[in-house]
Amino acid sequence: MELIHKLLDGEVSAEEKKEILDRIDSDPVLKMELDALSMAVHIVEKSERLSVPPSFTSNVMGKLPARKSSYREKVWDFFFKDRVLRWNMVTAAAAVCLAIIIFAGVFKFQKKHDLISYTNMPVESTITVKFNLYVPDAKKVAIAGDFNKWKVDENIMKKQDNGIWTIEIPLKPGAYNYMFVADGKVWMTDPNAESYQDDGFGYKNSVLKVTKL
Amino acid sequence: MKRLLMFLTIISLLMVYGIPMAETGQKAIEEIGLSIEKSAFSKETKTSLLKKVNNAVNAGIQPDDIVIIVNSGMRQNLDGKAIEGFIDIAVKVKNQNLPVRPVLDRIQQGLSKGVPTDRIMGVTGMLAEKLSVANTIVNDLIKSGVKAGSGTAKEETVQTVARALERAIPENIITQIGIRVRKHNYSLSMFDRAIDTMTNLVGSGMSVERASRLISKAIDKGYSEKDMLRMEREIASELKGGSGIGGGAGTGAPGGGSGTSGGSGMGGGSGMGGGSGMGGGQH
Repeated sequence: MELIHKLLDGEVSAEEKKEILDRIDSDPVLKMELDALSMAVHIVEKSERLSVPPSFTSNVMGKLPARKSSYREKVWDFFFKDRVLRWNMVTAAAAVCLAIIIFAGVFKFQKKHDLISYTNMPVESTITVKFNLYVPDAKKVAIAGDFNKWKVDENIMKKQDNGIWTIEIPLKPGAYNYMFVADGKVWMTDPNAESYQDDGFGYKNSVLKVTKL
Repeated sequence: MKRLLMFLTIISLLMVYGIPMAETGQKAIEEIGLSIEKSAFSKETKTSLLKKVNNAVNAGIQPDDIVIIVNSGMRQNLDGKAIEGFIDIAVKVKNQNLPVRPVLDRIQQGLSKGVPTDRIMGVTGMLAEKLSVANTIVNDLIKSGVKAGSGTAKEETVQTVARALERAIPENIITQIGIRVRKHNYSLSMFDRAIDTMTNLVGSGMSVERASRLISKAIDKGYSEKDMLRMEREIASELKGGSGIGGGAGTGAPGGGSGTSGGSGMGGGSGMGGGSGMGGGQH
């Protein structure tokens, strides 16, 4: 019988095979046994091979009666138990895209947050500076400087009854160059400026240094 | 499924990146575009100018500054090439990683004061060169071990050194002050203060040699930045005529110095007087 199994499995030599076949021919019981086994092998080989889903093992394991484990073991397993990550290209692409979006979102939020914190931050304290100029005959006097990008129509001074033109401008600490402009065309240096600086064009800018009080 | 996923991803990315990028600078460019469109320039000039404006904004120059230059230039009836020339200088400086603010300031100032185009070009061109030299001096100083301090400290110092060079303070004197600053383990901000004080003293009428000796001694004596500033104010005040520390600034007195100051040649005409004063509340 054992030899028949070996014969079917192809594990016998040519001499052994001849010997076995001779014996089977002379013994009808053995012949019947061989036919039955051959049929069984044939059926098995012809039968459809069912594919097992990837989650088969975990499903089977999940249906087994759970072993009662302590709370401590559960916590330990939650953090340290080996897990198998199953993936395919679609889920991987989705994960990468999600990571990019989250990263971009965080980056954007950070930028926005910086902006918000900047705008909410107490602005560097400004100090109100009063400028005066005595030009009784002028019809319009303005002050232009690097604090207003030399715009001649942004800081127009007000004329007082005594012919003095004044304006108050809040400035952050720093050094500023400026000049007065009378009637939109006559550029004048502040005669009482702290210091002066050539502007490179033939004028002398007045210099004001604003320091923290 | 895949297509849907791809679509969602693209939409999400556009929402995160695309819209803000499109908004940045677009409004300012549109504003300049409208101004240029309304101008009397030829079609070619308008196109060329708009291209320069775009280049400047892309180079990182504040659109607001470009708007001022273009509008001031058009108000002065300058031709398109002149305005383009100003923008080109600013872009060149920006692309060299030099501080562009002094150049923009000089252009805006020149245009506002009605200075001829050639002169503005000449002065800003020279300023760009000085900024480049100043940048090298400051970089060398940092490489030699002087601590740069805050993020803007280097840029501010480059501007200060460029201003000193414009005042015809020789490069070697500035470098010597730098060596002294390093020797006494001061930071770059102290070097900035020292050069600024020296420049202001020279501007107030002191000779370069005397100013540099004074600054060197102050550094050797361990002056702080505040000490240096105080010294500068005292000396500048003395050089002005001994009117006391602070002069007009600080008093805020209306008409302070009228008549006398007006006649000094700085006021632009007799009978004009002025004064500025710090006061009032902090905001």
